Amino acid sequence: MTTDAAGTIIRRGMVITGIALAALACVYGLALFASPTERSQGLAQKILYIHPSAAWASLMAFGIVGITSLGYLLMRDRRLDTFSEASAEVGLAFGVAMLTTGPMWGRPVWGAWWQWEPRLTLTLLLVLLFVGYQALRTAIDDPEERARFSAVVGIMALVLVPFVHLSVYMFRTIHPQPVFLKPSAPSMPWEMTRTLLFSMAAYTLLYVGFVTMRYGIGKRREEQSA
Amino acid sequence: MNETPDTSAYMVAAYIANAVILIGYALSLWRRSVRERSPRQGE
Amino acid sequence: MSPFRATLAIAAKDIRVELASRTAIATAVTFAVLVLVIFNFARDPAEVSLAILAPSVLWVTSAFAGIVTLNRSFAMERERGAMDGLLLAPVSRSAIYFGKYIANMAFVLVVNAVLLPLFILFFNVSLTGALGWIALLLLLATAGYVAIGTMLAAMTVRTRFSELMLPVLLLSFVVPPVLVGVQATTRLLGGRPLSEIVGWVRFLIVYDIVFLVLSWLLFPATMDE
Repeated sequence: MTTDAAGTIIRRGMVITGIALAALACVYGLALFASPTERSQGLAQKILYIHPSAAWASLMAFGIVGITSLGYLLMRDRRLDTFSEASAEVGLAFGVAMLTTGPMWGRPVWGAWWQWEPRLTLTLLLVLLFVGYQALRTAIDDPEERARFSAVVGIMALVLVPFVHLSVYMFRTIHPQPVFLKPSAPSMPWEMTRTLLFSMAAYTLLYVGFVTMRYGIGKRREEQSA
Repeated sequence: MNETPDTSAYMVAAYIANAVILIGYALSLWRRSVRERSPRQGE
Repeated sequence: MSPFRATLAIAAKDIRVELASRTAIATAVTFAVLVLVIFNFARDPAEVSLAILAPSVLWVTSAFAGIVTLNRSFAMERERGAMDGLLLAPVSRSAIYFGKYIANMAFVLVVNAVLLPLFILFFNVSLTGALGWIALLLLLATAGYVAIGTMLAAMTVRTRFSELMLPVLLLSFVVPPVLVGVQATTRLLGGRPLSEIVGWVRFLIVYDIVFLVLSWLLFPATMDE
């Protein structure tokens, strides 16, 4: 009787994802019905409750890829590669969500679909890089080589982050542009902060659920091809 | 300008798109977990 | 063979081969000229002044020409199946990396050396001391992304779609130096004092050092174990 370790992991991931999706539904409820509407931006300001959380989840996912990639190169434990693969894909999902909601917020508030501001630019470049990461993995047949090469890209991506942030920040100090996150009030009312924090927690949990499921799927795929 | 602008269309679009992306990804993961169950276990 | 001599030997070999066929440089220069000409014509002269467009065009052309050149970096080894021969030779991985890096820098700098005068010509740039600083900026930025590109090329040459893979992976790394370069060049061409671009120059230097060291450290992981 084989113990289906991968299956257990996937099932745990499903449970966590389920809870996280329920939390996401609560976020939607809180955001749409229990948070005050901001005066100058109108209802579009409520995108605050789903956009930065996606950015945070995406950045965290990609950052973790960098760390597990380094771990793989140092320890050559294949599980670290499987996890990197999982976190990279999940990071892309959140990245796409962030890049979709961003322009939808930007257009009514700034008058422009896009701004070269640090967070958007960073996410865009990382998404581009990790699309390349996925393409790279698809283009290599040997599992060991795939793991090694992916790890190199993962580490490079992590090191790139501060440079992108700094260069865009320097760019923007010369060309001041509207800041994304500040509602017109100097500090946010508690109802807004509460919803935002809850959203961040829900997205973090969603990351954990997604990555657990994806890790299990990767692990199962490896076991089958072994 | 004291009128609050009507930006509800953007909000709705963003909330729907966001849900589609995240739930869509969750479904894709679920489909992949079910589909790749080892054939050996089914026999 | 001492690592230093090995490095130079590998660089010299690549340069010799390239001088014989000149395909990489020729491709890149042709590409650069085409881009310059197109940018010049593909704008409404009344709407967009050359002066505003110039820095961006210079840097975009330089970066893309550099990427085109880098694609050729390990192509020779792949085409002739010479990768194993390179790896079996009694030289350290570091020597291979730095040898390739020096050769690639030579090629890309040659392309830029052709690009810059053409740029001055087409975009009506006045010959001031600012040009020397712009050349320095180009050198600094190039040193950075060629370091990364040399390492990435070693990887992508062994994958499918390698000629597409390298630009896709390299692009995100090229953005910060190009962004910084364009900003600094704009200031220089606008006659601003040097003190204003010091921050940008420092950024490029740090970028170069960090990514050169990182690429060198990661290079062995791109070679067969």
